Amino acid sequence: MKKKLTINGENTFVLSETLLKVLNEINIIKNKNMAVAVNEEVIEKINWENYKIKSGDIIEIVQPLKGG
Amino acid sequence: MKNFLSIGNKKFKSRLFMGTSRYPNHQVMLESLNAARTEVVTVAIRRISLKKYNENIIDILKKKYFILPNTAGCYTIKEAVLTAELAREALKTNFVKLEVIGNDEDLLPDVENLIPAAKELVKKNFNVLPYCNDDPIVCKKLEDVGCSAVMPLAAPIGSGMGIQNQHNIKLIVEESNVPVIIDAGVGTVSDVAIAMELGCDGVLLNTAVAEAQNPKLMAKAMADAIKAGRNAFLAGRIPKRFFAKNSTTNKGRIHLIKKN
Repeated sequence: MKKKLTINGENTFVLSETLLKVLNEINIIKNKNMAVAVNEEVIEKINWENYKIKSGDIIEIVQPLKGG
Repeated sequence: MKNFLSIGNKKFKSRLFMGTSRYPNHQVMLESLNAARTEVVTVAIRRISLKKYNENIIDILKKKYFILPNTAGCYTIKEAVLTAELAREALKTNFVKLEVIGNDEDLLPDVENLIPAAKELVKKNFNVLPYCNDDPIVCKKLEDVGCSAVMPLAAPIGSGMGIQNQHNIKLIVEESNVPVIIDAGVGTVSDVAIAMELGCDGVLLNTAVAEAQNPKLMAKAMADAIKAGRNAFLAGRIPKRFFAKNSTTNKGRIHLIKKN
């Protein structure tokens, strides 16, 4: 069954069970400069593979960009 | 003589920190950073686009510079702390330029939220460099909660107006036990020179170089100003006087005798 998530402020529906699989499903290519928070908590990259995602989760996917 | 700028466990030879925003293109940015002889560059933390290609400049910058992530655009303690934590995960650094702003009109720091945000991040083992008002009391409080440096503004971000309250900056320098880095509001080299003459430990700037007619040349000029201003501070300027004081002695001058 599809799960309803909020990813970077947008309603997104996914089938995947874990964070890493969710990222793959929405075509985010993992790179070492990325960071992810689920429900306002940072999830370290080494835990993405096993981190279970549930319906209603709020996910932030960020990376460094030009800034002052 | 103190040749290095020490913040936390880091030592920097250059006292000029550079932002990476608003340059005409990447090439000009990289050339300007090089001309500025900087070691520290700032970056922002932003959401990845789920729809289009996300540019990645960090790998290039990482090779040469110490990356200082900021919490630009954060209005609350919660947003700022989470952004700093995401930055730490993304960049594997404990350093953060902490910004908690009051509104997006004047981009001035919201001190009521800035100080507790700094306190929380210090507790989480961050080296906190807060963008703050040019207020000696605020700077002292930020030092007291454990900030690694204080970064009072010269003037509002991007305004280019230069140091608006030299007296306050001087007080901050005299009372501070952590490095004082002027952040925001610099317009040109004289602003940088004044900051360094006042005894500041460094300057962080962005728009003044990125939006100059010739960013690369302005970057070089800024680096020269840092050096000149720092040397002038170390050399110790003369006090200002209200009246003239001759530099050549009167002794031995010719003295004609007036007739009638």
